[in-house]
Amino acid sequence: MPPDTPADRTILYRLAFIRNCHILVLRGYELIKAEDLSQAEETSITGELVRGVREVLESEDSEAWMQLFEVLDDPPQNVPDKLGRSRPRVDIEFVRLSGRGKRPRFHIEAKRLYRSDSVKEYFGDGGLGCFIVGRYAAQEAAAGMLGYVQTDTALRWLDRLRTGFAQRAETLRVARGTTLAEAEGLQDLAPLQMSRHGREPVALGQIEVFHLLLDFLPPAVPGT
Amino acid sequence: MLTLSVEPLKSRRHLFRFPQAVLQPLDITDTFVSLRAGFSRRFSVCKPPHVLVGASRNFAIYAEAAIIVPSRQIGIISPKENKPLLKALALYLNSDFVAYHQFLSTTQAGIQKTISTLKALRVLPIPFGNGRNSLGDWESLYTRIAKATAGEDDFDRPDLISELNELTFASLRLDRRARAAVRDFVNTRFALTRGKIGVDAVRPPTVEELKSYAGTLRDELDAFVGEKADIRHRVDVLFDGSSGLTVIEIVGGATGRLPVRVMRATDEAARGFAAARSQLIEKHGQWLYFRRNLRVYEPSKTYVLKPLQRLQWTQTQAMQDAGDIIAESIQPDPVENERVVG
Repeated sequence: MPPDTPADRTILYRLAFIRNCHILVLRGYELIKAEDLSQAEETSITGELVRGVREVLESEDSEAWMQLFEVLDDPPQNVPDKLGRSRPRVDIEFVRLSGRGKRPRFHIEAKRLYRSDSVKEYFGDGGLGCFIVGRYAAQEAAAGMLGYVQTDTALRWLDRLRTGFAQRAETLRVARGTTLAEAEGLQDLAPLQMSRHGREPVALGQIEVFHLLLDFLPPAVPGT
Repeated sequence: MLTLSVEPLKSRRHLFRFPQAVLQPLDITDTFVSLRAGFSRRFSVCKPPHVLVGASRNFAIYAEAAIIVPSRQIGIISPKENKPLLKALALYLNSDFVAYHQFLSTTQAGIQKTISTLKALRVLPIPFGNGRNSLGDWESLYTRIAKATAGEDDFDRPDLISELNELTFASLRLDRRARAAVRDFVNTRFALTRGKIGVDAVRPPTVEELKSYAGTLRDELDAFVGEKADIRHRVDVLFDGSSGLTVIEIVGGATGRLPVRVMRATDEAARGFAAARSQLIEKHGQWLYFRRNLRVYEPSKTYVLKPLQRLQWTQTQAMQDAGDIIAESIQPDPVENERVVG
């Protein structure tokens, strides 16, 4: 439906932007050899994923809308009191090029899901917590989390994340009446989840975080 | 042996043959050469078959007559006397893409005299030969132009030029965005080089050009929201003698492209937009005074008001406007939901 309010209009275009970023992530993921990365570190997987996305963007038959997208691997973020090499680095940043004025950006933080404390890391200060304290995506109203599944199945990890999310609702400043739920309008792409969080400082407003789990499982051994 | 006088060709483009008047037999008094600077290599490009290329790239002509290549002009030969290749090259060098490429590769172009260098010509991508695209299409276009222009010295006809440019774009595999950049630069922005404000850049756009702008804007916005979205963009343009108002409406439940409409302010169909236009001019008249590009956002509509100058209504400008509308819609100004930009 066409938007009725300025906020609806913003949501409509923002969702299209988020959708486009996830299309690029998924297309990039298709181009890499996920099985070969079943033991890899997070930075190695992210590097490969960004390489895949870049390949999609720079392919001669890339779609028209893709030509204005740029993907950055591990770019430093300017935050108060941090300069130069001490600045924090978000794992992936998408930028949509435009003319003058502020460019839409989508920040993604990635975590491996492979051992018992992975859920804690995913929601911790170095994971989702980065968005809640405004270290990343402070100027944006939406961001993304990627879970690199290296053991079990994506479904099991999603269950664990849901449980962990419910247990940490207060720490994660989960917006009242919301939970980690299917992201509307994006299910045709992948089983994306969405959560909404308050931020510190409060002036930053709420942030919507989109969660996507990608398989990096080892190849199945015949007969097991 | 003939000599070539390039001065009369100064303002000509798309030449296919040299006019008789610019070719003169070599006079016996001019038959001296500089031995220190070498002779045989320089003379080799004067022997047919060859292509003679103007220093300012205003001509590139395939010739089967022996013509002395004047100083600063460039002669091209094929060691194997490959005539189809030379013909294709001559046509290609007349395309808009080459004008665009050479302008951007030459330091002097656009500053004073537009003189392109041999170095710039050497870095020009060649879209045929070496197992790439076949020369067949180029050969057949050359033959068609030769027939169509029998008795004339140029092929300055929109249909032939368009065919040449399309073949060039296809051979180079340029996408929609790159094609628009080339077209708009050569046909519009080029009029703004060397400190000039050429009429091609500031004249009022035609209805077809306004439709092309509106269509590109719609396609860019539709492509961004994606085919699976249940919304589309309807783009209407309303114009009078001095300004044009573009109305972009987000339409729900639509599939496929919605037709664009271009209306004069006096048209009956434009009555609905005329009031909005008057209000915008009344409210933001000072920006039009400065000839700025004004965008006003409503929940389901965006108004873009700008002067009726060709420069503002190109395909590349439509892409730029779409990008700005998307960026400003995603991150609206919290204080005022409208932007005025230069």
